[in-house]
Amino acid sequence: MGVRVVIPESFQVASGGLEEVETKGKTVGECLREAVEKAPGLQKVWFTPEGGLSKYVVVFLNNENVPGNDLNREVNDGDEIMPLLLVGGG
Amino acid sequence: MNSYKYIRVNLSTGEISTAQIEERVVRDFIGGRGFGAYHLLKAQPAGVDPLGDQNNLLFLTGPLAGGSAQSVSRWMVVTKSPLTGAFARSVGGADFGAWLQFAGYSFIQVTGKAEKPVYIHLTSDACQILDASDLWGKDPDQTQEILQQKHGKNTRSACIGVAGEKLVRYAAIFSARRSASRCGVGTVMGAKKLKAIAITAQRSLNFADPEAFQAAAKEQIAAYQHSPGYKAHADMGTTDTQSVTNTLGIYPVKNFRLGRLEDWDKTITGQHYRSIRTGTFGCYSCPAHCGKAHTVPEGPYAGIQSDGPEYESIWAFTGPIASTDIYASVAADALCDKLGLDTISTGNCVGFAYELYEKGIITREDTGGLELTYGNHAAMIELIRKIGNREGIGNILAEGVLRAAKIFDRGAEKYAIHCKGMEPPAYEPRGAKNMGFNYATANIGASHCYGYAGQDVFGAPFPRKVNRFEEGNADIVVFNQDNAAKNEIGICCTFSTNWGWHPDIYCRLLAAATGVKECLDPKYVALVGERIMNLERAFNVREGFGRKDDVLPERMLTENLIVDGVPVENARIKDMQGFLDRYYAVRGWTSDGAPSAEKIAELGIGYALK
Repeated sequence: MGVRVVIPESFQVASGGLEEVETKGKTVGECLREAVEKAPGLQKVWFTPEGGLSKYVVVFLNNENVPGNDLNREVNDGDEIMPLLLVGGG
Repeated sequence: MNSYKYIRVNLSTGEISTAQIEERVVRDFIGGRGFGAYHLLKAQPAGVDPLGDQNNLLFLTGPLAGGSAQSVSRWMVVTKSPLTGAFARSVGGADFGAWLQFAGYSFIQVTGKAEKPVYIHLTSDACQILDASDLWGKDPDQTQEILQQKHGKNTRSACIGVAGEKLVRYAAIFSARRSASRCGVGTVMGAKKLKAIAITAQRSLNFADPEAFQAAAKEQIAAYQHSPGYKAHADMGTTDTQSVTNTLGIYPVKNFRLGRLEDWDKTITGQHYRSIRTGTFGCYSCPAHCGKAHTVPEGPYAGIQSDGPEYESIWAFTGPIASTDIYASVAADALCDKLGLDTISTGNCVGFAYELYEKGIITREDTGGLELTYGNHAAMIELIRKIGNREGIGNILAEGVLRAAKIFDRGAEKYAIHCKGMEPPAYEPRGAKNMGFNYATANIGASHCYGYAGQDVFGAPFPRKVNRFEEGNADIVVFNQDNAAKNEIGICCTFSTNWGWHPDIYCRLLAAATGVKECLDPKYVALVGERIMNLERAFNVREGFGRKDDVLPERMLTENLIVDGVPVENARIKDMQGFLDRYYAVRGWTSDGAPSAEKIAELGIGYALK
């Protein structure tokens, strides 16, 4: 059992249609980077060229907002991470 | 502030009086939209003509306005809509809400009709009805500038443009660089010959517990500073939502036939708009400055500047006519602002005309020579000008798609896309069904703001995840609608609720501002939201609305949405009536969509309905 990274529809063009990835990371950041290894197209939509998280992404852990998008937040087996695209609505 | 008084202005008789809001109403409805729903229901009988002298027009602020709390100083207009004949609520930003609080009023209630153009000038100790002959015919910017010259720099006003004067049924009300645009609220102003309301006031606050208010506001500000949502919104506003909706295939194109605009990613993304951005602007006590201004750098619209377009207006002037010209969208947005039009209804009316032209239902003879062919943005601009001035075919389209279809006849009604007579915003109901069912059941007609389905658009996992093509999520639609009503008690910006401040902070702000201790309980604040929804529904029931009116347009029920030339499986409303059964059951309403006696008793709002 690992940590599931769910890829919402708004990122599935970048992920080549991949909807989720099972990862073994110990932190939110490690899990997201593992997902990027499986779907490299996510690199430029989730991360900045400097390696930080894009300002257009907000990360949810088990359906709860991760305060400050803390990539060092520890995760446990069975957790679910979901990055959402942040644009304004309408 | 929060003295809970309001001012009544009768434009027929010239009478002006102040009144106190009842203690029970303060406790049960708290403020903002709550006061609007209660007082409109009480103020007028069923069946009044929305453009007649008996219709009331309420300008409301919320109890949190004017203080250090962020993004909670918006204002709202409540009336009976000339577009739908139903309850109307429309929300605007900038400073006007704060100024109304500084003047010491929770709302202004305007009734009657003036014989000649007037405006209302309000201060903390006086209110006058003044001649507006020199303002009539002026655009909103000119009007506000003149009023500020007359009454001083501490004056803020809300006003209409020519479209409101000429009773275009979807005229907006403007204040600074923001507007309350939907439901034809500006048309009601025009019918009353009320050009503007100007408020001259100094900052003055009277919170029940200023220290508690300040403490909660500090927490809110701290939360903003760490919120990715806040930072993203400050950066782009809503100018890139089209990238999401096109990706999902829910960007309405050609009068809600297609769900994706061809070549959108090469032409109309947020980055394309950023490339012509020339400024930002915001609302009172909100650091986000999410308004983005644009200037056209070249071509036939070179030099035109607009305080926008934001997402809805970007869509309104690209999707309906299948245009990818962002310069034309800026020009169309600027023209609507100048004329005083709601961009969403305007874009829909234009898209409706283009489809009728394609089908041969209207011809060049009807359009006055305009070629309404897809991609022809020059014709769109001219059509908007005609609508705002009620010229030629514009005089028909100024009635909105429902009435225009009846005038055109010849089968046009099939192509009129609306709910309860109001044209929908930029989310395709068949690919975002929780948004769509919100359009169908919203008391004001097709509005995204009435119950925004972030679950469909962004995959937001609260209160739970949903499949955007499923039709069984009545509880989600109810949650979204009640949540919007709850946020509009304090007339809080809907975007800001995603900027990391805990809902408890909102509750503490409400309690500190109003002294209503029950607000400390989030369940109580949610209950007030539900009360508001039920009162608004009761208003509509009294006007004859019911189950038959809670529907989506025929196209949504009979045609699959097409994306990239392919009909999308499940992208059609399969069981509208089944959804309504579930929705009414969750709401505790009768099978005809009316609040049941049990629900009214449970909510304790029976006295409001007498």
